[in-house]
Amino acid sequence: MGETMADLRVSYATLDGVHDALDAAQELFANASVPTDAGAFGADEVADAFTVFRTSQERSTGWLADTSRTLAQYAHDTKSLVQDADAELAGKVGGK
Amino acid sequence: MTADPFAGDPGAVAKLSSGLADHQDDLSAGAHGVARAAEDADDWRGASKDRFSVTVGTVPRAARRIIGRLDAAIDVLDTYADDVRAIQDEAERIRAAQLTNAMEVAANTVSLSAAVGAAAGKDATETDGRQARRLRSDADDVAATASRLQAEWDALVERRAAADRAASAGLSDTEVLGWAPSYSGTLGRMSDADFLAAVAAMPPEVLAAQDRSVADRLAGLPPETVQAWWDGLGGRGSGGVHSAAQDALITALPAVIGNLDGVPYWARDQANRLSAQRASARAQDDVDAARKALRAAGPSARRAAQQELDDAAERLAALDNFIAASRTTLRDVDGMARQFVSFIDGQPPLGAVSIGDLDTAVNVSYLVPGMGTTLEDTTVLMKAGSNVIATQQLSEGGRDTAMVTWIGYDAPRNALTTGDLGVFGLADAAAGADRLAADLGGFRATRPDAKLNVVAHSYGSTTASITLHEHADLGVGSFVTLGSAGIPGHIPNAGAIHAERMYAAQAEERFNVAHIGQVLSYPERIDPTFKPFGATEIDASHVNGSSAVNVHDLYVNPNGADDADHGYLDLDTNTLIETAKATLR
Repeated sequence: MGETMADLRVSYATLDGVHDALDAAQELFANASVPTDAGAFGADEVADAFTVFRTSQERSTGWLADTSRTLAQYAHDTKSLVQDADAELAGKVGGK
Repeated sequence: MTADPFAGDPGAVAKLSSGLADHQDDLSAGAHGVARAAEDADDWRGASKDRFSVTVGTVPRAARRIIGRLDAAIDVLDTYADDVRAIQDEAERIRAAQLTNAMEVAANTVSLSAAVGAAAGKDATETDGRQARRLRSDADDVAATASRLQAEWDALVERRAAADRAASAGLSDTEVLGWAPSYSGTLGRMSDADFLAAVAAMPPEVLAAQDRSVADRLAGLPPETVQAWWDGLGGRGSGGVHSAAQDALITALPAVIGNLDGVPYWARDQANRLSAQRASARAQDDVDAARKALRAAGPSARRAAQQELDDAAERLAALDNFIAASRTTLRDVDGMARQFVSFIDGQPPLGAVSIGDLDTAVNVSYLVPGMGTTLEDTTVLMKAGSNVIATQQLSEGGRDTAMVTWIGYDAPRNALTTGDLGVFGLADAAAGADRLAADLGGFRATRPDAKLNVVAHSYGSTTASITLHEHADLGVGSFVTLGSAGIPGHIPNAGAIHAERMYAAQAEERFNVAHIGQVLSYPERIDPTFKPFGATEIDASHVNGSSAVNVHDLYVNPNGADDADHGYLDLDTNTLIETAKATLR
């Protein structure tokens, strides 16, 4: 962690935009569901294989959602960090 | 088991295939959104952007791989639907033919019986004989047809079984799953080295799809093995410079990597941030659900629903305070790294955060808090810890230290506010001691060269004393107790605590909180400032014009106001100065 501010250059609007885009992507991933077979196969071995596949898909899609949410949060935290540092500097300059 | 050619609904299978295509569309749209976010971040520069870029690029790539697997699955399902449809059509034809055949057999049997009777009669004619022979021949024909149809049916049953096998194999193929289904079983039989190589080769979305056995095996590996493996994946690296394999492990298995001894702390930090953020998001969902449930609850269910909401809100507050450790304002430690050292999304959630870089600091102290501590206290405890670090930095030898706020055990609840008497027993301390020993041992295995100290407050000193008594190999330099709730009676003296030096401070506390903890404890506990125990006493009163500690807390006076209360690690106290000095020896 330990972000040094010296090399950081970014606008709040950029971070907001990144956050919003990732948040929307996260929603898409989180709501994307693999349908259940509902007895369509009539064969246990196919149904079992489909269940394994479905579980795998849902976990993989869950990773996409989780990672997108984390990145959205990261953009949000970066903005907060900059704002905090700015406020702290302002306080120091103001002698608070 | 015999396959049934009529079983299943090819229309529903085709619909399922179409559902997978819809799923692909959702993933594609999401991946497009992530790619757009990466483009939007174009004017973002700096170390934080580097870290962002490493991970953001993995999402669209993984989405494309998942979409490719869905393509393969769709092919399997479409082929299967066509096969089943054709088999069912053929089954209809055979069954219809068999029905016709059965009717012909029945009719022939009746006719033949009559014809045979007529041909055997006294007045039988030549025609009767021919008729009987013809009907016998017909009987042979329909019997042959029946046999042929049965053979066709048997072949169709086998064809259906083959279609089922092909579909099952197709859905289990590496192209569909991204990994072979036998892999999990194989992984379990691999040597540690082969297992680790296999895990490191998996893309993140595949790694995330593995069952718990992979995580459990990783978690059980010795720190030395983990460290060698991790280093082999691209060096110990840093938050900005590390390999794709390391990144995959961090994002796919954060709960494991974040607590895996042998993994460098920068990587644990990233993993634990992910875990904590995910836990917080889930906790927020739980709060929303509990709030909704409370609104819908009838009079009889209202109390339970309110309790559920309170519990959910308490958990969320704890997690959010833990997450806030990354940015809470700390006095005089500007620019120091902060690392999420561990995080366990349990009940209660537990974790540890450092000020200072645990991968490089030459001197590391663990702060073990006491009664009533939860993750909701993380930032307050960090402020206490930052006072120690800032004081250490006044000395030449204190420029490269770290302080870990360790909330890694389920501390007893505050007896004064809850009436819970757990603080007077040893059960929580014993359980916490094992966890502390594991974490200190993990640190020591990764950083054998670093100085290691333990600063423990209140019931935390009870806990830590058990750890150090039972684990002589941790290599602890100084053990400092502040307002101890007592050292368990089975630890006879400071020498039995395996630290090179032991210090103890006991203030004249308002309400005598620590003293009460000592005298009401069962089994009996000892005040470590009791001279025969052998610890070096730290004076908690006015020393050289410093402020006396007058309350049981560690940190109650953020601004160092002379006329306000002082806790053990507040500014302007002798206990703060001596703790800083003790942990630098």
